[in-house]
Amino acid sequence: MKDNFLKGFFKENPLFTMLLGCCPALAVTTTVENAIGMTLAFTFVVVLSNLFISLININEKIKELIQPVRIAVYIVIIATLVTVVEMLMEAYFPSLYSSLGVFISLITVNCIVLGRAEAYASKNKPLNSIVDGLSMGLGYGMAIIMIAFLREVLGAGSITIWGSAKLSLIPVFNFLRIEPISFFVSSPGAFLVLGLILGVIQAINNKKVLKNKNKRQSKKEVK
Amino acid sequence: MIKKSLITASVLSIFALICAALLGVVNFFTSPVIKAHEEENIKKSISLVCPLYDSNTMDITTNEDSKAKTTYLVSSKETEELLYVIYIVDATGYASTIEMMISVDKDYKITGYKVLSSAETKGDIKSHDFNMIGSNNLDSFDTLAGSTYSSKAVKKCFKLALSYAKEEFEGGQK
Repeated sequence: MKDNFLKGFFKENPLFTMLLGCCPALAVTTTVENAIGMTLAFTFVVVLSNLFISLININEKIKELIQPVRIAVYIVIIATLVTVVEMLMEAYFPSLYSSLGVFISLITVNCIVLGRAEAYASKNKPLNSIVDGLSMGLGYGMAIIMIAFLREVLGAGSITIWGSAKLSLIPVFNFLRIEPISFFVSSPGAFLVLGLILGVIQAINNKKVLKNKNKRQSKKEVK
Repeated sequence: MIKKSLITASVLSIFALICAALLGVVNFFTSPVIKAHEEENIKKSISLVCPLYDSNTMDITTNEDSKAKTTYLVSSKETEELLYVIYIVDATGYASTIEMMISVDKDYKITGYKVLSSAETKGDIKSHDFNMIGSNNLDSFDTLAGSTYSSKAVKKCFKLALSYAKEEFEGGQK
């Protein structure tokens, strides 16, 4: 259960290891607030879609019935959940709704949600599927919040957590006698930040592989 | 074969019906809240283009028969006299469609305007003063230098709003 929960954060992170869901990850990460909103919407959809799809597949008879149209059934369920999120967000978080725009609706066709439904939820028990959904949703959220944090700090010199909870880092920039680089808030900046993060992760992984290789070699020499 | 197809279609229909019912329930709870937000936003936008608008003494209604994209009629609560007509009109600019909100008073004069959406690449048309407030004469229109096509689109929006207002106020006093 613990491994199932943690896999989405590091080992099988949808964005950093599988590069899935890049489009919203680059588009909505202009502020940390947008990334938090997207994380909540995405986690809600992926957890509930995993749960419902797992529940459908528990019964062998229903599983057999939907087999020829299972992808259509999954899409209907996912689209319904996304529309529910959209309605709730428009009603209770209108500013977040307008800043996330079309990317809320696009969760429907996000490959992570459909991928987890087909690859995991349809073959596992409901509880495990919920944990998997949480793991993937929060793992993806961690990745986009990380990108948004770097982009907002470097590009706008602020951290917007939620609504008016905004921390301005302009005095720090003034103290260092530098100015925020607005390039990071633009679309090419998003690609650059994602590339830099992926580069750092790759460097860490390479170091780990080299360390393990050296360990094995030294063990062989001792033998 | 046909039986199998029918079963598959029925299964998909049942799922679609369940999902539609769920959406109906959520919509029942969220639509009044969304409508209240929309009304609040409309009042905010109207007070921007119509500085004398007062929600305590004036009523807002929409005119569904209007030729404009959206038409709001602002009338006095007490006398029911039509005081302002506010139009949302659009025209094609250089790189995008420019959408504007324009308010015309009962004297057939523009009281205010706001560029609601535009993705024009040249010139800041959202903050430029087109010199049309208090006027209904398009000759006084001040073109934004370097943005000829965008300015033409804005001018077209004013022209449309004034022509609709003329019809609304039964001729006006041009």
